[in-house]
Amino acid sequence: MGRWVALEGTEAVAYAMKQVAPDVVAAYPITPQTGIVQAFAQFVADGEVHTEFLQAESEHSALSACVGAAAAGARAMTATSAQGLALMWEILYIAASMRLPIVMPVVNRALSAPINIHCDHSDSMGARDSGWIQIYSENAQEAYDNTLQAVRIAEHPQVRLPVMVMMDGFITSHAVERLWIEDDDAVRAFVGTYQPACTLLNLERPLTFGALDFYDYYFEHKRHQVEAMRRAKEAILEVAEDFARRFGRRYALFETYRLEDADVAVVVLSSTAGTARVAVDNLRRLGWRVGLLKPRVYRPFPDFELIHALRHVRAIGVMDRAIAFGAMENGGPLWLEVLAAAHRHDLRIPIANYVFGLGGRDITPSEIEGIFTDLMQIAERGTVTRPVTYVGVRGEMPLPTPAEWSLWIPEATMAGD
Amino acid sequence: MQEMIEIRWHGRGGQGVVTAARLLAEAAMEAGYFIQAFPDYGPERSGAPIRAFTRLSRSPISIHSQVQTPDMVIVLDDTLLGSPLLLEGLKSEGWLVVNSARSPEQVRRQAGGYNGRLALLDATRIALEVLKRNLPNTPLLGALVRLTGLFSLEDLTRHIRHHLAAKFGEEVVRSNLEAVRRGFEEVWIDPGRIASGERPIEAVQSGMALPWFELPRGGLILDAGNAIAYRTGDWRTFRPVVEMEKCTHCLYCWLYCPDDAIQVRGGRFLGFDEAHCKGCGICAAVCPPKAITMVEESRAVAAA
Ligand code: SF4
Ligand code: SF4
Repeated sequence: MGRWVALEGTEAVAYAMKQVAPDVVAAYPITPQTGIVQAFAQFVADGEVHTEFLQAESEHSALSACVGAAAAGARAMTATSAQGLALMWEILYIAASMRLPIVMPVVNRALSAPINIHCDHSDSMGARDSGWIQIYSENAQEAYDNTLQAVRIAEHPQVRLPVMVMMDGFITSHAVERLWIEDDDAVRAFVGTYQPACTLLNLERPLTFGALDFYDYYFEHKRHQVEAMRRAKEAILEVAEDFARRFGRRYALFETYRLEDADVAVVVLSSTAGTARVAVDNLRRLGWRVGLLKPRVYRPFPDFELIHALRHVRAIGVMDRAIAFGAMENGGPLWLEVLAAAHRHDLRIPIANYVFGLGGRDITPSEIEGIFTDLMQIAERGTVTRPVTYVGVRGEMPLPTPAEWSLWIPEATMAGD
Repeated sequence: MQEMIEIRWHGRGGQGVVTAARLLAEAAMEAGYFIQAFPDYGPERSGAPIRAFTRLSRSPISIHSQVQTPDMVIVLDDTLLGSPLLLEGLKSEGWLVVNSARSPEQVRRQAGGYNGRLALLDATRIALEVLKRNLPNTPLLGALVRLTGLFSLEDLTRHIRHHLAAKFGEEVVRSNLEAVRRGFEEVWIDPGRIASGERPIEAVQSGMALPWFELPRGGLILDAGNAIAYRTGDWRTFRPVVEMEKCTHCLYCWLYCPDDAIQVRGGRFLGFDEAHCKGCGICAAVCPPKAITMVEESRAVAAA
């Protein structure tokens, strides 16, 4: 049987890694990921896990070591944040293109400059097109569960792609929360032993990895990666199904909250989804029909399923903890993706963007209530006048408050539910 | 002239194929043409077959794909003549221009019985005689002026003088002009037999046969160590020749050869693996008693 424990987010992930017991972990410490590497190194030092643990001299080397290990047929993991992920950049693409099932917890942190150690999603969002599967976690429990599932997803024979498992820096990584951890044996049974399809070290069947690939083959290999991403969606659900059967916790491509009858909805990743849930409850108490959609899997992006779930609402607010500088309206990547998905699946409703929380700026339920209020007005008008709002930035026009909206439409305050 | 002339160059790494494509374009530009010259870069290895392209036009050129149906295929190295890719797409009224000392009949036979327009020039010999270096581009330019009539020998002379005089002096200018003049005069032109309405030579799809889903994932190569099947020996423009009486069997050559092309038995030097020696000359450079000399491949073949 498993048990309840009180752990920080990083400790929860380190514990999951200990239970997975990968053959190789190569990492370089960086705030706020350090807790993962430190705790894991401790497990190794104490003999609690028999993993070849390698502290590399940089993140570039750490991921390179994982690439080598994975190509040799080992189950390999690393973990990083912010500049560390940025330094891994070229190896990210190599790991994905070589189809190596490396699992990497990423503790989201803002990118320098100015130097900042706190949470936003600029780091992992920058890597969104690198060919890695991306899974975002709301809290320590999800980070733990997603790390375990990531191993199975990455190694799934139909997939064979590296997986990043995100959690919010400090907000999740350094917060102690109550979570349920499974029994070692049960985890071992769930992740199974890694059966590499092919390995560098098989002398019976020598293979060449990472060869030169010009215009006569490169494109075909990229097309292969596309197929893996396509199949990943199904594999992720299959793994989630098995996880639920064994452990009772259910995961999907995204999670919805009070969305079924909602007039307006907010789409937001990770820990902020939890805060948004509070805002939803507050407004529901006033009789507002508001709901929430929290994507769990960002790559592959579940465009069809997501738009299907949002089909009935009158306005959508997408909250981004990153800016795609120079992109349309200087909005966030999640918004751009939702807009594209809506167009692709013929959903013609106003979709506004709320960029928030950069560099760890706190986001509160009342601010999210402001977002919902803005969305109610947008739904009423049927059009977006301010496509991108930088929430809480000094000098920007503030969002309306629920009280203002109640003045607008008095009956909104009347119904209770 | 037609609106645009498209040229494809074939040669080997180190022969100045890319420079040739560029030289012609630059000369044409000074004669008032819009131009484009670009290489088809592969692994930049000395002796490996490479291609380059030149486009010359009366109006601005906007196309940026490779040349599909050239008006002219220029071959700087006649050892490439056997390749099925060489004549790919050549227009039926197009020209095959070859730098070769061989007879027209030999060249046509080597080029798979090609019977279209053919121009031959022993540009290597002219270059060695006049420029004292193996730079076949310069005499070839003269031949192309004659062949295409795109611009005059005077235009080209002005261009060469303009580019070389300040940097290399009058002597170099004179020898280059001499090389151009001889190319212009010595090019051997054979209109061949072209049936009217004949279609261009069909494009061959090479090495691009497998659909993506039949390839191993992640760019894996399942038959590792298959380099032996790759005949790097075909890249050779020079080949090593040993004087056995000088050889001390020190095996320095074996140690240094980047292609493992030195054959050794019982600790003694035996010879060269011709299928894989790419003629880099490293063995000759490192051999302590100077037992190895590099000899031009075509001449060595002719001598044999
Ligand atoms: S380096 Fe020269 S002397 Fe030594 S084995 Fe080779 S050919 Fe002979
Ligand atoms: S020239 Fe000499 S060193 Fe170069 S590949 Fe041939 S045998 Fe080897």
